[in-house]
Amino acid sequence: MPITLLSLDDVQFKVDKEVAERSILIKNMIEDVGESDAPIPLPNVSSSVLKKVIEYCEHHRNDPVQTQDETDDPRKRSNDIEEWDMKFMMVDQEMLFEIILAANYLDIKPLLDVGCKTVANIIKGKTPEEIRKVFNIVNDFTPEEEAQIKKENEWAEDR
Amino acid sequence: MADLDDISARLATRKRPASPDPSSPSSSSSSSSSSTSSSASSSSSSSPVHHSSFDHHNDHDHDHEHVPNNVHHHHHSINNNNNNSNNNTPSTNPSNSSSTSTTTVSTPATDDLSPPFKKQYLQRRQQAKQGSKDFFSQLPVELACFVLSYLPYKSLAAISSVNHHWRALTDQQGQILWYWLCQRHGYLTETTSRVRPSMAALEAAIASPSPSPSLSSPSSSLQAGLKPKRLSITQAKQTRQGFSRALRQSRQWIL
Repeated sequence: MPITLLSLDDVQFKVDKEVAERSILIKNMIEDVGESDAPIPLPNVSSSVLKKVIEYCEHHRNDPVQTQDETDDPRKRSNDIEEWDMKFMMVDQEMLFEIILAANYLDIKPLLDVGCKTVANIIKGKTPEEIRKVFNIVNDFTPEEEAQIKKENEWAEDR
Repeated sequence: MADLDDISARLATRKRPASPDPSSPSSSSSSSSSSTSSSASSSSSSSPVHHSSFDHHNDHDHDHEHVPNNVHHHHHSINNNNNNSNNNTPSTNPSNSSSTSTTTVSTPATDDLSPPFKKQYLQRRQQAKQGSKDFFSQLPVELACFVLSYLPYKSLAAISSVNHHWRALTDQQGQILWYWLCQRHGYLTETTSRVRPSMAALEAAIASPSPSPSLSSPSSSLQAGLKPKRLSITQAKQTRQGFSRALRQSRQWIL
């Protein structure tokens, strides 16, 4: 039975139940409310972002549900992203962060992980100046502060 | 981008259907505009044409820059909304956003489900329009720290020297990051099934004023999740003797 999702700009999306239930938020909601034809309002997610999120859930509809006891799994620590997800995340930065916000709100842990890993991979290996440039971050340090921080972080360089 | 612009324009346009009040001319215009907005959901390219007819209402409102609030009932602010949406509506003809594999059906605008969320969303869009492209720094602190927890110590050092905002997050007082780092590197067992750490625990940890790492004091429930032999990490987290020392400590966990 399909589930109807309603984005914040009132666009309805009809998706299969198992796709919608990749979102723990929606899964719990369906469990609480029971089966009904009424659309599920998602007042935090716009239609363009929801479209992307559904695309992700459709692709991962058959994935096993992530178990909690993976803390000691070294794979969890790595920033490896599978190829389809990597392509999926090739969006502009605004969309990337909107997806992260939506994944957090909808409680889709794998998507949140992929999004955060994508951002982390952007940061990795970059100098502070390069990080500022790639995210348009304004440097509000005074030259003195900057020198001080550089000194504090000296140990991290060239090792 | 075009999709997001389109949505924020639609949101700004949408408002509650005006109560029937034929005596006032502006109420009739607003009710016609609400019908416009509902049709704009299905064919949004038509909306700019309709809005141009409201321009004469708005001559005195040009210096209002605030994000349109959808729940106002006053005619004045309705006009104001029209003015803003006029400015915001991109002249481009946005490709129809409902071309997915899933069926998408547009519905007439209903009452606002949750104005605060929409307001937040519109604010984000507004900031993006005003040239602030720093979406990373706009992430909620908790999520930003979750991102940072994926980084090796070298990148953490780099991000700490980006600007004040990021320095505060990576500082030893921004304990959310250290919570995530502990968890990611196996120094903290997951006590809850949620993605997020219990915010109460985090707040307690941040609020606990005593810098002395007395291990016996159950000052925060964070410690409850720690394995006994790892308690020295809590100690490291709670010392406030400097970012570099904490980071040096973290290097030992990471390597």
